[in-house]
Formats: sequence, structure tokens, C-alpha cells
Amino acid sequence: MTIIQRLLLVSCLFSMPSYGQVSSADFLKQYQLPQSSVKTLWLSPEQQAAVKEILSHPYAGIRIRYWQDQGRLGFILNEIGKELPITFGIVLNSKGIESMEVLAFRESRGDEIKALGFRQQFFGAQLTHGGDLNQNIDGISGATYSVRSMKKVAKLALYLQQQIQQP
Amino acid sequence: MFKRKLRFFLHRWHRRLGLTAAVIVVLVSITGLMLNHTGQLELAKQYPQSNLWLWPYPAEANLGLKVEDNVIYQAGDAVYLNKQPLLNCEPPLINAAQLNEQLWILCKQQILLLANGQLIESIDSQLLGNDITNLSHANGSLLFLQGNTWFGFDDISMMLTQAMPAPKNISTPQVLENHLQTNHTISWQKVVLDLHSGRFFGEIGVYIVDAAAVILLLLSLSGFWIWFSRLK
Repeated sequence: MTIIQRLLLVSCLFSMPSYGQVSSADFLKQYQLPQSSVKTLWLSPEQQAAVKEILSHPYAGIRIRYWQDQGRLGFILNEIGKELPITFGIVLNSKGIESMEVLAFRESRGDEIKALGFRQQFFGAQLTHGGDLNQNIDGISGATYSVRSMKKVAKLALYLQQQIQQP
Repeated sequence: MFKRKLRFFLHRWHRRLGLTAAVIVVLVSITGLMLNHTGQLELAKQYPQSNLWLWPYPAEANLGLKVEDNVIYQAGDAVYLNKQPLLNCEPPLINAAQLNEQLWILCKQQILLLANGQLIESIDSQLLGNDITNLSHANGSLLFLQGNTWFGFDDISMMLTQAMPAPKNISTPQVLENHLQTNHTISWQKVVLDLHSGRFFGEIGVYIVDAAAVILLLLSLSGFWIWFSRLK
């Protein structure tokens, strides 16, 4: 990313309006994932260990719902920001992350991650062999925890995609 | 002559005031050290349970439900099952129902599913539709109230099914008995901070700590005066 692109990104972050909450149902509708396409992934002990490694803490639960339609996957995942959970909606296709939305932000600070200019950095991201995102994500001053949570959830969704789609 | 008298006077009162303030200074110093290392000591994440530390704080009633052998209640944002924290769940806790091995808990916008005490998953209640206001069960089926109508629920597709007759006995959260009360809101950080400021002992405690601070100020001034008058 060039300096000009970075400056444009920063200016976008400050110019973006603040959004309200998006319901899970609206998110699925927006990305054309039929609610009836819901499936479940039961986490095996190995998968639970891998998820724990990604999140730096155990996942709350052992079953994850996802929506699958025409090769696309949708997840609705929660992760703690600084103190409260942030709800993310993630859509994946064969090329990685298609879109990532913040459905509910409950913290008092750090909601700059909702801005499209920031979220676009995740679009097209895939997992490297080392388990990291293959795209650089610029941080936001004052939203460090929120950015960290979003990166964790992006990695988690990509890991789950691998687990669901592996032969 | 006057200076000598003043020095004796200050000497005597320097010791008396020093002794008087010592107790408060010890308390403020220890609590100050603890507050300086709040993160390392994890004071914000731990909660005293003894009345020795909790008597200044009004008891908070935990609203909860008894479902068969389980007690489910909410304290702050967290939902507890038999005193074990499950997950943050936006208040209020609305209802819970046991169906076979599964325990379903409904909060404002979340549904928690447990089996044999283990959390299976947390579901956004809006996925079932807007305006889900209660949960119950009848004839072996889980029911959700949407608007004024009770509906069946298919947990595989996560969709409401056909309208059902209203269940007969719908439980509501109650204030739990004292022996089930557990402190999950007053952290050690708050207790130590209140001890440090004197608020732990009420309004008078604040004035006592103020007085100790003024005494410390006087001690430093009288100490200086005694020290420099000797040099002369």
C-alpha cells in the first residue's frame, strides 16, 4: 500500500459516518445467503485447540453455525474487543474473504473498524501456511483492541472455511 | 527563647501527629502499591466473597431461575449456571427451559444452548425473527414467543415452525435466595480503591483520609523546620 493510499484510507476512516447495528438476518439477506442454508460444524478436540491458538482463548461453545450457498460461506462470530463482545458477519468465497461486516459494536471506543475503508483491507484475504492473513492490515490508533479482534475473527473464519471445505 | 519553645512544641506534636497518621498512611501506602499493580494482581477480575469486604456495598439481588436441578442467574452481563460463569449475555435474562439433555437459555438477544452443563453454542435470537420475547416448552417441544404467538422451533434450520398453543406454566426469573447470592460485581479493584480513598468507611472515611493527608503535609513542614532550626 502506497503512502497516498494509506492517507486516503485514514481520510476515509474519519469521513465515514457511524452505523447502527445490523441484524444477523439482515446480514444474511444482504449477502444472499438463505437462512435455510444453515449448517453446523462440531469442533473436534484438534479443531478446538487450533481455534484456541487463533483466538488466544478457548472458543465459547463446541458447535459453530454457518450458512453455505453456491460455494460461498457465511459466519456470524463474536469476539471480545477490549471488554465487550463485537459481533462480526463474514462472507467467504473460493478467493478468501468476500466481505466482513461489524454487526454489533458494544464498546464505547474503537468503532472505526465499522468503516468500509478499513474493512476493505480484509477483502480477498486468505490464510498463509503459517496461519496468518496474507494481506497487511493497517491498525487504527485508539481502536487497537477492536482491530485485533477483527483480525482474529478473519483468521478464524478462514480456518473454519478450510475445515469445512477440506476433502 | 521563643524559637526554643516553638521547637519543643513542634517536636512534641510532630511525634503525636506522626503516630496518629501512621495507621492511615500504612493503609493508603499498601492500597496504593496494590493499585499501582492492578493489572499484574488481576484485581479487576477477582471478586471478594466475604462480608468482611462487602459490608459497605448494598447487596445486589441476582435474578435467576431454577430449572430442574440447575440454577441459572445473571450478574452484570454474565450468565451463570450453578455459580459457573457461562458467557456474556445481554441482560435481561428472560427464561430457560430444559428439554431432554438440552438446556436452552434466552437473554435479550441471545440464546444459549447447553448439554450436560457444557455450552454448545450461542445463537443470535434475531435469526429466529424480530421480537422474540420468551421461551418455554410443552409436550417435548421447545417454544418461542414472537409477538403474542407461541411458535415451535426447528433447531436444525433454526427457524420458527407452526403456531402452538400457549404453554401452561411459564416461569419468570425470581430473586434468588441468599445462599445462592454470589458477588460478581464488586471487584477487588473497587474494594482496594475505596479503601485507598476512605470511601469504604463512608463519608467520614473520606474526611479521615483527608485529615491524614493534611497531617502528612504538616509533618513534612514541621520536620523541615525542626531539621533546619537545629542546623542554625
